[in-house]
Amino acid sequence: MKKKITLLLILLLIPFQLGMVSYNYSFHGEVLHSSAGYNYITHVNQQSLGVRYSNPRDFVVYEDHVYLLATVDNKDALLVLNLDLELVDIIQEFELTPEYESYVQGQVTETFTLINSFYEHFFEEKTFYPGTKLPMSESDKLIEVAQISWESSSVSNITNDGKTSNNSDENVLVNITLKIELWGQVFENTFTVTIGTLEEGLVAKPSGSKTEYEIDENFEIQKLNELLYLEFDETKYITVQDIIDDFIDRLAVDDEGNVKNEFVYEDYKFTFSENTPTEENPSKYTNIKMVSQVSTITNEDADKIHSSMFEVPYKTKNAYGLDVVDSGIYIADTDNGRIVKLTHDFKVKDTFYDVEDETFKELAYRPIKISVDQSERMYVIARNAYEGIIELDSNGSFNRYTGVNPIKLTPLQILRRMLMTEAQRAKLEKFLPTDYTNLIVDDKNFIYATAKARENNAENMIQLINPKGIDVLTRTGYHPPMGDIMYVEGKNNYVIDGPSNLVDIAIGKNGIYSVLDDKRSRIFTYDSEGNLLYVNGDKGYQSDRFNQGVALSYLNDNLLVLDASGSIVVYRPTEFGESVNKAVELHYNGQFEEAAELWEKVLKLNTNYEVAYNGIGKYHLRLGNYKEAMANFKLGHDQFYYSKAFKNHRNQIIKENFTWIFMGVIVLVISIPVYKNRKKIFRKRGDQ
Amino acid sequence: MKEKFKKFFNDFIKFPVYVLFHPFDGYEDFKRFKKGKLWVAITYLVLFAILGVLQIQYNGFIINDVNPKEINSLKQIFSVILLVVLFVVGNWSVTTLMEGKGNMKEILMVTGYSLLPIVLIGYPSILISRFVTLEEVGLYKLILGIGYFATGWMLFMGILNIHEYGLGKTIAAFFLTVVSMLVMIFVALLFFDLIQQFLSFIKMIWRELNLRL
Repeated sequence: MKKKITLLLILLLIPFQLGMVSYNYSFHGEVLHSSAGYNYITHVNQQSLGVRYSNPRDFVVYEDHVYLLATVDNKDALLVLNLDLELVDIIQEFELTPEYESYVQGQVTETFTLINSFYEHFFEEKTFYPGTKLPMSESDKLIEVAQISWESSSVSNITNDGKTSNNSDENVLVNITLKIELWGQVFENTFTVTIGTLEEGLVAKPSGSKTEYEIDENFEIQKLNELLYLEFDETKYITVQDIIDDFIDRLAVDDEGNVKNEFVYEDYKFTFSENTPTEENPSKYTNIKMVSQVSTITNEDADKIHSSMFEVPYKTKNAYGLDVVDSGIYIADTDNGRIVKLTHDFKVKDTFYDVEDETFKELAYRPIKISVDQSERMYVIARNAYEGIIELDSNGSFNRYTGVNPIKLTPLQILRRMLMTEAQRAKLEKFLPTDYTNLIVDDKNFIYATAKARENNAENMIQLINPKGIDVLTRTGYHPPMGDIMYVEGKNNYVIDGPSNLVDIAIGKNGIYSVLDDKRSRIFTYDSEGNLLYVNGDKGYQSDRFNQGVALSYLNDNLLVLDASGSIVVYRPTEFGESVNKAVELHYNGQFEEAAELWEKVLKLNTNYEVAYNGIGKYHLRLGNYKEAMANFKLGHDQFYYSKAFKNHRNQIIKENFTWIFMGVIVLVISIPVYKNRKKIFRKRGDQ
Repeated sequence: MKEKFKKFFNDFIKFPVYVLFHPFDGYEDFKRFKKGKLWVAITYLVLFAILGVLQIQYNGFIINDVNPKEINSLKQIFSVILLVVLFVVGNWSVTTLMEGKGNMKEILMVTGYSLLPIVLIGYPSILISRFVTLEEVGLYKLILGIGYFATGWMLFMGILNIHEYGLGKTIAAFFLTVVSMLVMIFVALLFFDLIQQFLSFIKMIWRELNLRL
């Protein structure tokens, strides 16, 4: 009966045991079974929190709260939980502190100048073709919160929403007045706009916010360029007809197989009808229309003007990064292109917009992750910025880039590039340094950062960047810290391939750090020397698993994982994990004896754990039991310490047996001449 | 007995060492006066093949970090034999065309004799490797390096002398030997692949016939 119950229990429990991924890598890179370092204890999700949120993006544990960034009702929200993971507060709108409000008041004039300079640049020394639509009705795009109105001195020539016309034979000058109202302040400026005369064969009509041009097929390109400030190729085409002739053979075909009479040339979309030329009507193409594909006001222009600064109360837009420190709460407000600094009672204290660097003159500044150090310097990862981590001063001014991801080429690639011509090389995929995915600053102002894996550079996925900007991560473990070491390369349908994709890094105690792999949903924990301590986590939809990890954080000794589904999974160290952590701590503090005792215990819990032997070995080395130390280092594959122990062991042997060794040497030295002269010596004796 | 031992010592150690330090005179004796012995050459070949196995098995922990699961003594021995056979055949076929004076037996003997330094240094170095610390690994590697260099030197001088070549021609012969070795490997792989395909073809026909009849 007892046997049957045991058997039944084993059968019931085996699936639970097998469901857990618990492995480690041996010195030779083989996967070894290992005890689990962390076990699931609980989880919270939308149901248990009682709030529907989606797309969680980051979370931070600070003092006695957990701060979580997610979307609630299609708007960004900062969820505040207490340490028992119960919802305390949801904040979607942030009030301003009085100091910051007066700062914004001061920024109004600057914004006026920016808007003014945009229009000045647009109207400057240009003659507009009659019928062209001016970007007045589009002015909302520049800044939504301000009231912008236009007044024209001659409505028959320019209407208040920007339609132009000219019926006379001469250029007409019209004054238009811009009036902006923002935060109670008013700004006015008058521009003089020149409207040209009509040409035969070109008719402009406003079409929405853009202008549609109807052109005759014989209209000259050169003239078109002059009138509309275009840059069409004059050497290749003479008239509009030539352009269409060029494109007619490669027109797009719609779903039903009909040829669409439209194509795009230099940002302009052309439509036309095709005719068979007759004597009465010799034209090949009629009804030619040309519309610009780009808006007059681009996002780039709008980015320079910080519209979001004047929208009160403040809301974040797709904010991806969060950090909470003593000086406040920092949110990387991605789509608004700014960093919002809040006080601990969620009032806006400051915002940081532009980064004064060449890169962001062409690229919109989209901060995705942020971490703040003790002296309030901000470290920011921006989307598509390959230069490294952006370091901002406490007042938001750009300092420098820190930590650059090196690019490594294999010898074959170098050879191939050497043999290529300049043109071929340009066509090749660009070898950009990989972008960082996440970062966290520790209490010594060192940055732990994770980066995406690149071809033959997967070993640099985890970096510890010192204040000088150099990667100083210790990689003395069996393998460099990089998540999974063994993986399938190349696409296949059966298993996930490629190196781990690390998305977050969390710092534990005593130099222990953990990284989160969202590809295989695993957490790898390393000690300060780069030894892989344990691997845990498993992919799945069950509540003890996570399907796509987003963020990782330590809560005391527990590990919290934020899943893309919105659940927070809590892992607690097992007896094995706790012993390892404690042993690492003792070892870190130099208490080798206590550490060795714990390592012994660890070995009982997990015989495959090779790292433990090194801990025991170090204890024996200190004690002077060199032989035992050697045996342990051999089991732990630590050649460096084995060599140390062996050297001492060798010296010990030599010291103990010095008399014998010395005598042996003397005997050897004497015996050689004796042997050589043996005949002489023996003969003499024989004679006597 | 003493005479026999003296002769053995002379053939096995003294003469090869003499060849190492006096390559021109040594190989002259080797070729013209038939002082080279085939059994000595083969013994050195065997010793070299065994050396590789012993190194993997008994080298000190500091030098040796081979995965024990991947050790295969037979593979180790066969790879040495294969290499030697390929070299001898390749060199013979190249030098025959290049008016070399040596025959295949002599090439094999030169190959065997030139392994003397690495065998003489290699066996004691296994012992040494067990007594060095990490700082002294450089010394160990230097000693081993000297052994390999001397082997290369002896092989080069041997080929030069038995074929009665000049310096440039010897270098060319070595280069072409490597090429011919690669060609042989290629042909062998091709041959095995074709045989395999041919066999599977016959097997398929046999199966087909069995199913039909």
